[in-house]
Amino acid sequence: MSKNNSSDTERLKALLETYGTNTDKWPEADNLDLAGARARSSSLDSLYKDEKSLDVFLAKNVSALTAPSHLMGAIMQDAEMILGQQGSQLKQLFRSFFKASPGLILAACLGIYLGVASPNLLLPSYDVNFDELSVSDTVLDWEFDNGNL
Amino acid sequence: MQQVAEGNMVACRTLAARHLDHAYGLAYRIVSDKGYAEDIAQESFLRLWKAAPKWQPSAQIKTWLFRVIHNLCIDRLRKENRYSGAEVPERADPAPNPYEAREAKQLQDTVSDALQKLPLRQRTAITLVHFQQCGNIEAAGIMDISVDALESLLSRGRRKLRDLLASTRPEFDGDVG
Repeated sequence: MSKNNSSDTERLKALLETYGTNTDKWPEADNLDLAGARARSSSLDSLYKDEKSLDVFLAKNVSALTAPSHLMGAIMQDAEMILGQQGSQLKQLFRSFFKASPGLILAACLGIYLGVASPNLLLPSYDVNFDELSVSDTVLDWEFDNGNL
Repeated sequence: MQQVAEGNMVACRTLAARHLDHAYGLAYRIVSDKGYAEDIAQESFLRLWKAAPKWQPSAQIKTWLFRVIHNLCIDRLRKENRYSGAEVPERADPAPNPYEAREAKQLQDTVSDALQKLPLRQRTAITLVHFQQCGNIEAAGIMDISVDALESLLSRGRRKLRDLLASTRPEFDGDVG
C-alpha cells in the first residue's frame, strides 16, 4: 500500500467515525474512493460495517419529533401581533371606514330623501304664524294685562 | 421572506409549517424538556417575525433559526445550571408500565435516552448533522465552533452513543444486511 493510499484510508476511517456511512454528509472536499479503500483494507471494511449498523439502527429508531399543534397557533398569533400591525395602520383605517360605510351611505341617502321629499320641514309654516301672532293685538293686550308692557 | 415582512399571514404560516417541527425537535433534543422546547421554538419564531423587515436575502432561514434556538437553549440550560460538559442526569422513565409498551417504542425510548445522556455539545452536534440534515459548515456555524471542533464532537459523540446502545446490540447488529 502506498503512502498516499494509507493517508486516504486514515482519512476515511476518521470520516466514518465522524459522519457515519452516509457519504452525502461528508465534507465535499473529501471525495475519496470508499469502495476501493474498503476492498484494500479489512480494518476499514470492518469499521464501515460497524458504522453502517449504527446508522441503520439510528435511522430506524430515532423518532421524528413533531411540534404540538397549539404551538403553531401561538406562533401565528405572534406573527399576527407583530407583522399584522406593521405597515398596515392605513389598511386598518381603511378597513374600519369600510366596515362603517353601509351605515354612512344609508344615513346620507336618508338625508337626501328627507331633503327632497319634505321641503316643508326645512321651511315650517308656523314661523310665519308665530310672527303674525307675536305682533297681533291679542298678544300685546295679553302682555299689557300681565304688566309686562 | 419579503411577503412575511409585508404581513402576509399565508406566507408566515407556510414558513412556520416548513420549519416548526425541525425547530421544536432541535430545541427538545438539546434541553430535554417539552415545555422549554415549546417556549424556545415560539421565542425563535417571534424573533424571526421581528427580524423579517430587515432580513438580508442572503441569509438562510433554517440556519438563522437553528442558531437562535441553540443560543436560547444554552441560555436556558445556564439558568437551570445544567450547562456543562457533564452528562445530563438520567430522568425517570415516563412510561408507567414498560410491559405494555411495544418493543419498537421501547427501542425508540432507549435510543432517545441514550441521546439525552450524551454531553450537551456532542448531542447538539449529532442532532444537527444526523437528524436535522445540516452540513458540517452549517452546523459548525450554528454552534459557533470550527469544523474541526465539530468533527471532534461528532466522532466522540458517535463513539459514546455506540457504547450507550451496547445493551441493544442484538437489534443493532440485526439491522446490517
